[in-house]
Amino acid sequence: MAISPRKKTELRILTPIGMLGYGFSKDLFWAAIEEGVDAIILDSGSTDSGPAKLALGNTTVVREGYERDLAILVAACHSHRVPILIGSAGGDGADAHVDLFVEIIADIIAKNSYRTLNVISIYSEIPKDVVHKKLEDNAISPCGRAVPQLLPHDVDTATRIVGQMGLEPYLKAIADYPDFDIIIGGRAYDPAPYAAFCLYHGFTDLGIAYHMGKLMECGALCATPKAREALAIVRHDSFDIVPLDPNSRCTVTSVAAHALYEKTRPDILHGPGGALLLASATYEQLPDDRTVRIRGAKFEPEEHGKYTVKLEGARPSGYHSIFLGGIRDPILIAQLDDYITRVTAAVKEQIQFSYDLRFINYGVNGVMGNLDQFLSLDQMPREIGICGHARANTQAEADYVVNLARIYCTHSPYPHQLATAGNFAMPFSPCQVSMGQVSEFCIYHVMQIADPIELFPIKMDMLEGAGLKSSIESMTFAIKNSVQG
Amino acid sequence: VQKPIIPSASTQTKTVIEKKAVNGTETDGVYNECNSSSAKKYFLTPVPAEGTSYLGDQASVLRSKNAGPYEITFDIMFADDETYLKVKNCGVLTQSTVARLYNIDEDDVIACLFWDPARAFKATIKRHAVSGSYGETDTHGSQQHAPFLYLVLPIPRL
Repeated sequence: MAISPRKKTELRILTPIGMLGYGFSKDLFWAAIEEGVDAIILDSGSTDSGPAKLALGNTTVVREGYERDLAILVAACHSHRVPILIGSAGGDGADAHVDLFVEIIADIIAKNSYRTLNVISIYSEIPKDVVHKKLEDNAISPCGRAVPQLLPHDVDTATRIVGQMGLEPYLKAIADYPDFDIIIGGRAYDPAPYAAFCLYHGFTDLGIAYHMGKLMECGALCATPKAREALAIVRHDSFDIVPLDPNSRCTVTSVAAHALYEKTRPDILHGPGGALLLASATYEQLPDDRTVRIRGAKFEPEEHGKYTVKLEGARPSGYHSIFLGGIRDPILIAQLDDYITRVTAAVKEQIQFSYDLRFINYGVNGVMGNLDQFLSLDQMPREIGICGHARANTQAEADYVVNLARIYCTHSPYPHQLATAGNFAMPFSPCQVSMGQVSEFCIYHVMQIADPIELFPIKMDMLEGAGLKSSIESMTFAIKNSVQG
Repeated sequence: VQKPIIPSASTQTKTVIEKKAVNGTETDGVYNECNSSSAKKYFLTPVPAEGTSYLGDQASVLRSKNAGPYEITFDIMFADDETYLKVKNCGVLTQSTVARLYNIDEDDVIACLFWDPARAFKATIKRHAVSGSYGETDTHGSQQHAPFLYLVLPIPRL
């Protein structure tokens, strides 16, 4: 793989925020740009806010949020020729969200009459026939033991399947188009664009590159108090990380603790093509008392031919409706379980089609459900909040179930009742809400692949002031024949 | 090793509504101030038995969060080596304790370890509903930590 012809002794990488679209300080951003940075790199992805993005095509942030953040980034790219690398466009990295980001960038360039920018798209949706074939070949396994085995039905019912690319597609994109300005990646391992940029510039220690990426992909979340804008300075034997916000600092503990965040375990972090081992990492507080220098993490590659990517997929699973309200009557609260059981049975008596109905009882165990062992009748809450939640095959059916449940919740009799006018305080009118489609994750598995690049097509667009002018190369499934830039 | 005690619900923390003077200033008292003569302030009530404290008394960070859509992970950190080592060495934080706190099988405790570089304990458990699917109560998994707060340790309050 080609590497940059210009040798640098260190790389300065700016991450203005851990999630594109969440907003950041313009002043801190421009101050860093003026001081000089080699790249702006941001992650945009997360499975954290649930399956709706993958199943229904939503984005993590509304379009206006992406427009606001990208306008600042593209301005710096235009004026200071700083390359931008983005991962996991839109949150899920769907192909349509890669295109959305490119479209937003094209609009920004057109509106501001910026110079022509070379914008690369890397797609990450994996065709279902590829996944079916891999499943038949026993090349797919659950990502962690909480995940069930993948079934062909899961593949068929997923709205889309994305593969979490490693650094290789980014590295190929940079090497093929070294005069690129912006890369918009589909679903990517969060540190992948960081590691690819390091590798291209000859900083080949993957322990350092990935560890830096692991910290930087969250911006200055590893600082205390947690902050947004972060700068990393990468050298051949170490890297430094510092928050740009003067009220925040990185400490040895705050940086080491970041390895815990949203990870199954802090010492072994699995990713595409191998694992980052942090047990050997060392952290040194620099004299400014807000920068930490980090060394020593090891990257252990998978044995040859065992390269894996994580697949993610989700599907719609019916329609849902809710109602919300509360109970203050202590006589009713004391017998809530029985009351809910009777309401549930009364609804069932009236409905022939299949549906689900549950009551989330805030004040009892609405937050933790069965994980909560602190339930006890000797501590009766003063009031209870109830969310009735129905799911059925159509919105009309879900509305019907929730409507009946609300009516019975409001008007059913109960033993020792004094308050005979109504049982349920509703803060809103209308009293129920149609919620649209429910969704659920159905694919969270690792798939062995022979070539870390072939499933992730790359294309480059030259975006001029008037918008999308030409596409050097149209998207193809296999990019092996792609024109070398 | 002393077995961890989960206090019954009736002895759980109670919100104190009245205003309380702390160091001469009025604050919204949302906790019972204990041991106010000491520099160390304790927020969790009731006062634990003599010679014991809550994990929430000892920790500087105690949180839960998704680790991917199928797992919830708990991060418990300590402000200094002394506290960290006391908690680590008292032997209460084990896989079986985690299983008991959340009423789950030990097999569903996916990771359970101390992490010296961050003075931290970490445990990861299987989610009862996959994040965001029907049956979910906490999509981010960020409010599942409370049982750890009240885990009783054989370490006296200062």
